[in-house]
Parts: sequence; structure tokens; C-alpha cells
Amino acid sequence: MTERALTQNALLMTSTNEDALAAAVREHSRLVYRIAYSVSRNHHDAEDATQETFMRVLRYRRKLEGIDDLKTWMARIAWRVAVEQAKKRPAASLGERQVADAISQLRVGGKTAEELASTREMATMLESLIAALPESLRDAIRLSTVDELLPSEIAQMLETSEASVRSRLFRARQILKDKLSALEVQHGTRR
Amino acid sequence: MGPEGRDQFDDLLDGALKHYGDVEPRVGLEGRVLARLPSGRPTRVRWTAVLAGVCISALTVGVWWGLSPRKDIPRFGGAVTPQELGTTQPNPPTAIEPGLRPAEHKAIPIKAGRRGEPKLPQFPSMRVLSRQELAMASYVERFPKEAALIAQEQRSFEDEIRETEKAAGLDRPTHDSER
Repeated sequence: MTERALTQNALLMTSTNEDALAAAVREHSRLVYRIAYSVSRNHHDAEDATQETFMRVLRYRRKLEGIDDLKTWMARIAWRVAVEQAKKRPAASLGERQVADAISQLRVGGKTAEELASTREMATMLESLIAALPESLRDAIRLSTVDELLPSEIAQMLETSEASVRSRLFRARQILKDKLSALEVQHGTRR
Repeated sequence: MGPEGRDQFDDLLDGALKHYGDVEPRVGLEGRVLARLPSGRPTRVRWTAVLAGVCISALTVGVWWGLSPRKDIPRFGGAVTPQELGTTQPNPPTAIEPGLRPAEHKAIPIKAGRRGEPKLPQFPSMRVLSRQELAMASYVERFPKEAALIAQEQRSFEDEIRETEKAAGLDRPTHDSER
């Protein structure tokens, strides 16, 4: 643990130092928000989860003594909060019309993969495909989209090994690609 | 699509996943989070205040309970003082011969009047019967003839003593008049 992290933990543990709490919010709120958003895909829910995460940090500050990595600890809390929230809300499913629109975008000539990837239709379809993945693969690929998280940190959050995370990511990508391909073929042959 | 298509999907997936995670919180997130977070200091002060209040209340009740006289609790086996009875004896008790000392004075269960009941001005104030008196009353109730005989014998015995004392020139009050 770095000296800076130790100092931050000690200040947070006292809980009377509001500057330490404010510093923790400033430093980690973006990460917490992005983790929450990767699950909820909704700004309002992600902000609620961010709030709840820091409430829990304040509540469990006594446990900071045994925490080596404050960032990963907060990320894990944020992940759990977001997953709990998501369980209370039904996942939005993608309609047939949206799939057709997304696929038609893929077939439009002259667009690069990057341009296609940035379309709203593609984003919606990807959300739906990721939501349909098995839980272990879904969790890994969602967390991998958060830039601030390293595979080793994702492994800590999911309480598994780094090799397992890499394996899950590989399998998730394979499934997503296969599904994209299948959709393209299916909708392409219909037209 | 063939192998070329697979490559295209790879690029597409990479780009889509990049956009999937590329999200920024709305402006002012930190401020909103901090504004809704309760600070630790007031919570501690509040708990301390509650704890102090409870301790002071408990201490006050304990002191009051410890210093207040227990008039409601009956005592057995102890002599009754005039202060406990709430009355004053007009005449201090005179010396009584050891043989005539009434045994019931050793253990008189004291039971104060019910709460709210005014004290009677009469003396002696009303009290419950002692164990000996209760035993005697029970005996009289169960064996009235024997009790009458015993009482008659006792009276004749006292009369004899009185006559003997008169004959000896000792005119002292009887045990009953002492009472």
C-alpha cells in the first residue's frame, strides 16, 4: 500500500475529516459512476448508485484498516450497489425493429467500423447482447469497458483470478461476435 | 461473411465496446454527492448527546431510588420505632419486669396504610396483628372452651397476685393498666 493510500485511509477512518471524504469523492466518483453506469445504462440510476456507494464507504469506514487498495475497495462496493439496483429493475429487451435498424446500419456502404460502432442503434443492440450473456461473462465484459480498471482489479472485484477474467473476456467477445454475425446473416437474407 | 467479415466484426465490437464504456457523469456530480452525504462529526455528537442524556437520567433515578425511604416494604423481625409509625408516644415506656415483657414487641410486621389513606390521629395507630396474636386468635377460634378456661385461670392467677401485693402493702398498677 502506498503512503498516500495509507494517509487517505487513516483520514477516512476518523470520519471527522470532511476534507478526506471530499477528496475521496473527487478522486473516485467518476470511476464509481462509470462502474454503476456499465450496469444500469441509465444516468439517473448510476448517480443514485454513486451516492449509495459513498454512503456505504462512510458507513464501513471502520473496515478501512484492513484495506490495501482503496480504489478497488470502492469499485467493488460500487459494483455491488449497481448490481443490487439492477436486480430491482427489469432489463430492457431489444425489439425486432431495433435489431433490423441496427443491422441495416451495418450494411450501409461507405461507413467504417468505427462510425458504425458509434451509432445509437449499435449501442442499443450491444447492450441487449451483453445483457443476454451468462452472468460471469457479462460481469467481466461490462467491467472491462471501464477504462480505469485493470484486469487484475477486475479479478479482485469479481473475486477470481486474472487469468479467469481474461478467459471470460475472450469467450464473451466470441459470443458477441457470433451473435452479431448471425443477426447480420439472418436479417441480410430476409431482405 | 467470410474471414473478412469476422475481422470487420472484431473492429466493430471493439469500437462498440469502447463507446459502451465511454460515458461521463453529468456536471456537478461531486457536489451533489457531497451535499447529500452526512458528515461524520454531527452524527458522533448526536450519539454522544443521547448517551449522556441516558446516563444522567439513569444516575438521577438511581440516586432518587437509593435515598427515598422504603415505607411500602414490610419488615419482619425488627422493633418498631415511633418515627416509623409516624406518631409520638406520650409517655416513654417504663421498665418492665423480664417475666412480663411481652414477646410480641420483638417482631411486629409493619405495614403502612395504603397510599393516599390519611393518617389517623388516634394512638396507637392501627396495625396488623403479630404472629403471636394471630396464633392466639386462631387458637381461640378453634378451641373456644379451652381458651375460656385458660383465660379464667389467668384472671384468677392475676387476682391472687394483686391480693398478695395488697396484703404486702405494695399497691402497684396491674399489668393491664400499664398498657
